[in-house]
Amino acid sequence: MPPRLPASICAIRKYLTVANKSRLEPRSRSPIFQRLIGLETEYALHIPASSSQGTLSRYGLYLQLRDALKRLIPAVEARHMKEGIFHAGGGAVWFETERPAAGGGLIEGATAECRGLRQLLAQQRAQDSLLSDAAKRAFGKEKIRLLKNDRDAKGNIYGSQENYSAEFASSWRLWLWRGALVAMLPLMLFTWAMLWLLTLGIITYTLLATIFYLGCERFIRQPEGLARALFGCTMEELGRAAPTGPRWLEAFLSFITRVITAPLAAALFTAIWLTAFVRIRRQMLPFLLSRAVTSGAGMLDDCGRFHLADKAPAMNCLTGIGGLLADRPIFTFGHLFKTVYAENWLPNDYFTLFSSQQRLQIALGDSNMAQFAEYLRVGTTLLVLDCIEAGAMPPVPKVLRPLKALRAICADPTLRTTVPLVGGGNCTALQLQRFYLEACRRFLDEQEHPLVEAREVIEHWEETLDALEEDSQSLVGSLDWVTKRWVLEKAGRGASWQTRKKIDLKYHELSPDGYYERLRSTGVAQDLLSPEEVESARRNPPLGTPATVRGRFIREFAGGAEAVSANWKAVYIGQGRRTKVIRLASYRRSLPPEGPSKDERVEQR
Amino acid sequence: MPLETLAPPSPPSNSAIPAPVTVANVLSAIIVDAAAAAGEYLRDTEVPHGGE
Repeated sequence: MPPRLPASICAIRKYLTVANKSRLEPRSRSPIFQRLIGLETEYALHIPASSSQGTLSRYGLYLQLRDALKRLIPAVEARHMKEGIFHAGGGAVWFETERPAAGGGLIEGATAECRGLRQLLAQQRAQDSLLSDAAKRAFGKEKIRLLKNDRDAKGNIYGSQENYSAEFASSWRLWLWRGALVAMLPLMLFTWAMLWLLTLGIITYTLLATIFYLGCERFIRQPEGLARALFGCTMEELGRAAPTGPRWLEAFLSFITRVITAPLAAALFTAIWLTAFVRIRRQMLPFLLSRAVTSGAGMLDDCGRFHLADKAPAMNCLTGIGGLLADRPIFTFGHLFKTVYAENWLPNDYFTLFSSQQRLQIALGDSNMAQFAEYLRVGTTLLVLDCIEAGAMPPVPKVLRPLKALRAICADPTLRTTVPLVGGGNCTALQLQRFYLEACRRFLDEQEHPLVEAREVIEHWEETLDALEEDSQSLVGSLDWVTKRWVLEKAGRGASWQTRKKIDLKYHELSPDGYYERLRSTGVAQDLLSPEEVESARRNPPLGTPATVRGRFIREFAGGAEAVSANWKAVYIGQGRRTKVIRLASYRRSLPPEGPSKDERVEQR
Repeated sequence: MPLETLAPPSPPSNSAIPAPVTVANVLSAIIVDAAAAAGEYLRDTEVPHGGE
């Protein structure tokens, strides 16, 4: 039984009284855990300075990892704006090109699209396991390891993003969005033209630089220096180590691309802010602000203070494009922006933006080592989304100054901090979570056939909130921030900041030496998935999703005589005019009625 | 095992016998490992420019 709420937040309780019951009339068949979901995870690399690979660029390391992965599972090249592969499990592995010429670049894994909580958990763990094994094969002797975390010791941020298929807008907001897309078309055309001109400029530069280099090569004693200045690498390395050119060119292109796309980004952001997921964003925000109490990964800051979450303190806006102007939003719409300005070479992609169902991307959330924390992070979010879309969410408490509240919540591992609410009163993060727990419980109670999996989430959610109030140490091994804090306390206050920060980081290492993995080996952490489930997910795509078909075709045709590539929308077999295109769109909306083969649409170009 | 009752492991009487995998043993090993070359570990896990 949850403890009684203090009078200061009685406003929260009143929404769940008999007076409001008419708002919550039975909606017997609301879809629960049916939407497509997926996780993206950026992994850091631990590259010992003593390693012989230490001089290799991150792109070079990615290539080695990719080749090792291809030996573990059939995979094909991605037909996408960034470099990567799709594998037979339905998911993808990317080289996330954040300033690679300047030493940047990350390994990113994207799970296959899933349609269920357990399915997604299994896919995420299969991805961690596959990449960890690939890293061992590729760099085993060098002890280069992957870390599933969100922030390095210098404060650089990366990590996890969640994707949920959801209702983008309805009624007048949907029409406003569609009108804005049409109105923005001239600006899009102008932006594309400018980007094409920029591409032409890069080609011209490459040609002129090559001619200049070949002309000068014979007359210079050390042509490597000239090659590095012009191409970013020596001629021997060209094509395998630095695909992006020299640093100065990369910095220039990064700047000029931002300038060219800024007007379109501003227009798109305005349209998004007015129309995109407005109800979901409004009703979900307090839930997300307080979600770190169950699924934060924990973080030691520069002053040695412990925070519940790694990524949350870095959030600087609620809604944004993500990265374009150093914005780090909670709800990020970079994928829509990329569709408008970069991936839109075919009319098909532009028209997908008119759909009322789009991908809701949440950037506020940490990569989890503990299966239970990952389960709660996604499971509770799914339930809240289902409840909101069914119209069953009572009016939510509005948090004043949300970003300040987020930081305050995360900075207090005792969970006693209160945040002010609009209209007066204060409440703690646990109380906010309980509000959503009660709303979701009531939503499930009204269902004719509530899903067992959803019921289990409610039970685990409540038990976790109870334990956090009564004895948080009982959650060691289950919640990441609790486990990490416990290890840090055992290390003692006398330990140096560097030692404590190493605990913070190495907790996330995907190897038997990683601290969470070591604790897990003692049995202190209880896994939700059996090893057989993870092993199965390593080899098989999730059923009833576009990934089912993608994975099947990749397994069938990868390594064959014909060139095969894939992306999130289709699989391409063959080349040129005879390319067969297997479109996956029919699998996005609902479960296929009679198995994959019925709904496949195979086209011949 | 209740976490509150954890105590530092007693030294093994025979070094040839591996220490059992208990929470206390593993925790002690983690703390020893964390203190070793911590600065280098932080440097070697840097992610220049971050990500999304």
